[in-house]
Amino acid sequence: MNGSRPGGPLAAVPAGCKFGFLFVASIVLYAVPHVPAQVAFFVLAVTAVLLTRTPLRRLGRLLLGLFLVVGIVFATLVLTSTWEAAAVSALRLLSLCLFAYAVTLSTAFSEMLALFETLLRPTRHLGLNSAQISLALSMTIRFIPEIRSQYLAIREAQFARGLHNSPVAVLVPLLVRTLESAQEISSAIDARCYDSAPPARRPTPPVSD
Amino acid sequence: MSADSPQTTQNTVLVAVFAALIAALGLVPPITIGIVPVPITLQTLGVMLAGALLGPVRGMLSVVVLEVLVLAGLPLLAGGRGGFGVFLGPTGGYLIGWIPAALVIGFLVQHWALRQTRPGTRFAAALLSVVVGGIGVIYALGVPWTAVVTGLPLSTSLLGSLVFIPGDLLKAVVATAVALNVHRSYRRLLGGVQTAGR
Repeated sequence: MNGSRPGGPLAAVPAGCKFGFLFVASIVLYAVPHVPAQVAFFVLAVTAVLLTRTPLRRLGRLLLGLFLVVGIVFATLVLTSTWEAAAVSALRLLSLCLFAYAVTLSTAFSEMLALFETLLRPTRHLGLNSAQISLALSMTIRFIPEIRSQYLAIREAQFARGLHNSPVAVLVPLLVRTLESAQEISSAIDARCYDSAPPARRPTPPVSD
Repeated sequence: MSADSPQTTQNTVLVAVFAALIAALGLVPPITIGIVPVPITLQTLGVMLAGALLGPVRGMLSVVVLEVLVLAGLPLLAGGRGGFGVFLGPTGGYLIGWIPAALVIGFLVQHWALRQTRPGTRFAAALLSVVVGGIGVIYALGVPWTAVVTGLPLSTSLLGSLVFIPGDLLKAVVATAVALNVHRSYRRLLGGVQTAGR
């Protein structure tokens, strides 16, 4: 949602390959409990993240929480077990997350959704309707700012009534309003005959010749 | 409305709207509850509400929709987190746990709590459902996940997560109160639920 296209050499790699690599890397990282190998992986992961050419400030914001947790884990493990085990698990965690961030940062959102759609195609036979799935995904994105501004408006109104410490007084009107607009929207979609019937459930029409 | 068929447009819209609600609750300034000065993030509250209001299938689907968008890289989690790294990180299990949590809450609320006729019993039953799903199930996945990913012993991981229990209990109380309130003014939601005794 940052608006900028992902850049760098990794953006040209197909999303499927990147996810495949991530999958393999997560297995290998757990299979090799040696410090030198983990350091090598870590260097590779840092390189991968830097190759996405993300501004360093944004990276810092993304990774701050991760570094905090890994720091705590490292400290706890140093105190309770060997120094080596602590280094291995901290490095493993960092490299895995950095690889994952590299994949996310170098893949456009639309490319990601296209990959999911491909992966979900076999579920068509199970009766899942891909039209409904993409409707749900795109509607969610559209609704987030809507609900957020409603929430802020209701919160302000309840604040004026002195109810700012009562989450129930904020959430109940928000939910009722949201449910009402959901009703209206679904009627509007149905009125426009959006494909909502499950596919392949209809009997095939008799062939007339 | 047919609450049982997950295919109708209305259900799709409800799923999408609640997915958006969970995401939006992560973007708003956190609520401070009563005299408790600790601000709590509200996304787990959203998960609890999705289960308690939409029932098991739709509640779970709305969490799945949200998590697919997060997986695809949108920064929809509290604090603007998102992407594949969050799932692989130390707290990924809690995130995965949201999915069965909404399922369990929805199932218990729809088939057990809302059948209670006395308001007191209904509140207690709903609260228990939300605690079992929203705390029990989430922690049952999150704690071992943290232990496996970080290599910490299970007991340490459990001990660390205890810090969040009071906040989550508060969220469960709020979610229960809100859900019962909304069910009262919006009775069709869980397929013709009878709110007898009112």
